[in-house]
Amino acid sequence: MPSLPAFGLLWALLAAASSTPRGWAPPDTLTITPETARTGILYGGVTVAVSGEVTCGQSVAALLTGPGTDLELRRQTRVWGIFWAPGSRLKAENVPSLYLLHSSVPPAELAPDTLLRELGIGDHAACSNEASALNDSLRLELVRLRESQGLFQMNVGGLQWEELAPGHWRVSTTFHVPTRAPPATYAIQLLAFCDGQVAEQLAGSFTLEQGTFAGFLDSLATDYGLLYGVFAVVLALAAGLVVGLVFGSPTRR
Amino acid sequence: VWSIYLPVASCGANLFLLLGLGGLVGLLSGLFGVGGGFLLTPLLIMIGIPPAVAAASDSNQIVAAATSGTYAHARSGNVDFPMGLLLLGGGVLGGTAGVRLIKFLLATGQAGFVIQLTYIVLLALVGSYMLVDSIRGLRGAPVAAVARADVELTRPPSTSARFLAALPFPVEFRRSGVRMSALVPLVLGILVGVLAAIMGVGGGFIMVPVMVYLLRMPMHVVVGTSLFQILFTCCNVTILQATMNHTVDVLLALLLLAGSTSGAQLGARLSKRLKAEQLKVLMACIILVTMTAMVVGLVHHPVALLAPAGDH
Repeated sequence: MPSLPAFGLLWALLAAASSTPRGWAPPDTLTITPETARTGILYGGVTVAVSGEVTCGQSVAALLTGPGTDLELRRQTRVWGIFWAPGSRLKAENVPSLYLLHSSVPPAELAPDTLLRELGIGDHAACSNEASALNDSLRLELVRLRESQGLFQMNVGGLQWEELAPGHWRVSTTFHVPTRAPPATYAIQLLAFCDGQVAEQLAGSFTLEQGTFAGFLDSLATDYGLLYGVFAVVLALAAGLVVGLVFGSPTRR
Repeated sequence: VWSIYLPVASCGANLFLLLGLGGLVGLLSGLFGVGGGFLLTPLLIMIGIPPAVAAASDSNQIVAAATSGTYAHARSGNVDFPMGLLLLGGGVLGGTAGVRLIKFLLATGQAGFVIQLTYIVLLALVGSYMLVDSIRGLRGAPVAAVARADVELTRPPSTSARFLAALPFPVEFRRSGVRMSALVPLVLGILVGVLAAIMGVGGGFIMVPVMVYLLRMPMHVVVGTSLFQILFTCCNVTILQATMNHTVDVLLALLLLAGSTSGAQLGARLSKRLKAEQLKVLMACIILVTMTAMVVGLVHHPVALLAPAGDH
């Protein structure tokens, strides 16, 4: 039978547990809103809100990445000493279809380079080629290309903290998934770093689905090109006749 | 906000921007009486539509625009069908060759570059010609405008006219009141067909002066016959582009058509209130500014020294 001091200790522990803020949960889940979206005709990209709770430090990174794909690329070269035009061909392997990183400090300050490479954080995440196949300068050009397409972004900032209790924060951010991002399931991670090591790692996903009409048009154009071409012409002929009936003869071409 | 997703182009664009571009080109079309196809494709490229998709979808849009015009001209008896069929035969051959060329260029990653370069050359020629012609018109010199060309010409036959008369397979084109080799409209059709495939234009801005000055056809028949040929050439190009290159975006074409139809009506009304030569100077300036912007785009150091291997 427990002694009186033991009861006292148990009571004290229970009292301490009940004083923890209400609604606080163990930091092992991410809240992602929305978890799915569709590419309809009026689709202009989607904003995904992400939040999670961390207990360690202020060095945090939020990462949204799409599935990797191999890209055929060409080097831009000078033509006739005046114009820039695509030249020799090369291949970039396992390029994330979308890469969005928000971090509280510059990525290089989060952790040692080897760990960042392992976690897929930084410029080297642009592709998985061996250095000999795609050297650092070309990798940087790939990053620039993907940035210009809105498919690779690394932002310092963009994270908000809310202190839930001493030593516990809710970190939140929003990612804008651009219209060029393909329908796929995107991995989302929230990483908290302490002393250059990963202290907490929360993971979730966001799924972008092809909308019915957009998907129909895309698959028709890709898989049934002749049928799609005839459909396009018939539609244009009908539209032209309607225009002619409503407005009369247009201008000449 | 008001963004629209173009499934074939695989990118988004502002709905009002697309309608506005169509409207602007339609307005110019209504003001100046020339097609805007040669201006629309470069503008689409500038707002981020892949060049191959811009050119192919513009062809699709021209089908709609040319349909109502051809219908109206055919009812008025302004279409020389034998001439139109020969032009069309050439257009189909040229269009097919042009689409195959685009397919090859897409595979080599050069389609965007070639389309833009062709535009620069053509816009420079058309813009400079229009500017010089309109300035001469403002100064009171004889104007080489297309509209004045159906005046009876009494000069002795030029070298080119003698060359054309010597070609084999002569045919009498009664509606046009001319006699010439069947090879002439066939070759002209091929040229326009190639341009239609590469640039997404109808080719009226080349076809009309050639028919008037070189073939000596009356103006009212020229417009109807040109539209007839353009309609079917662009039908052919649209189907081929969709089948071989998958670059036709129907949604984009319909939005452009909606804008250009409204713009053309407004332009036609405005043109009655404005002086023709001043308008031509303005049009020439717009063409030359567009050409300059395209030159800057190709000469300026690119954002990245890598580019996607395919243009689409």
